[in-house]
Amino acid sequence: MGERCSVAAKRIEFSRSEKPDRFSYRCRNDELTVSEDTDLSTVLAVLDDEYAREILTNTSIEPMSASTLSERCDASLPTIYRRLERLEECHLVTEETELAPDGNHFSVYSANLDRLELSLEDGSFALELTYRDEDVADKFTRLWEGMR
Amino acid sequence: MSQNVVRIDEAPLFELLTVGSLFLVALIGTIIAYQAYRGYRRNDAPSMLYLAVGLLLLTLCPFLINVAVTTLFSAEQVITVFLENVSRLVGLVAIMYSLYGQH
Repeated sequence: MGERCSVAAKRIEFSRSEKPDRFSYRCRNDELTVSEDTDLSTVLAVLDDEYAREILTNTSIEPMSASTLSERCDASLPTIYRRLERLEECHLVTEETELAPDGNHFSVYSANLDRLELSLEDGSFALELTYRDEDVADKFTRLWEGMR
Repeated sequence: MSQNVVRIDEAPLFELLTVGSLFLVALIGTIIAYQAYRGYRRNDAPSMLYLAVGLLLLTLCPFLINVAVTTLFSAEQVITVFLENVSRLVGLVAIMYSLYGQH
């Protein structure tokens, strides 16, 4: 899908002064309403995991179900689900529901990370997380569901 | 009926504009409804299905009713407008249900 290719940048700023060991941050661009509890250490901790990175590399090619990921990464399903949950919390992975031929629903996951940039300037860290653009239909659904 | 046929090059300007704008409303409404339907399929959210149906009844259906009723039955304009409004009303009820209904 062509809509997946464009990117939307989001800049998160950290400043050390307010909370010494928990970086606070400010969103410059609220185009993507990312939940406000992703902080630098969480993002880094999530990425400091071989399985999580393997999930990201696999799902960046095409959306995959948890069981497919379990095969590709050679990990158990609970391991995959735990990583997916952490990745989803940081919005590094997005979940979509698909309809199987037998009528059952199942989830496929796709990587949502485009670029991660950490810079240090004038006494504060700036983390720039660039996400892949969200599909219009998903954005619409999120907005409408938010109004209900 | 034949004496009422309006040739496109003789049609009054505002009649053409009315048909044109009704067509645009139908087209844009259908695009938005399609995205709502995709949202329903992708996220398994029933409220998006009702929204899609509501948008179609609000935009595409009045256009189809207008074209169908005037070409097939050559009914009075009051009846056409009434049927269009019924479609719009049902569409708005569908959107209301999408917002407030329990599903």
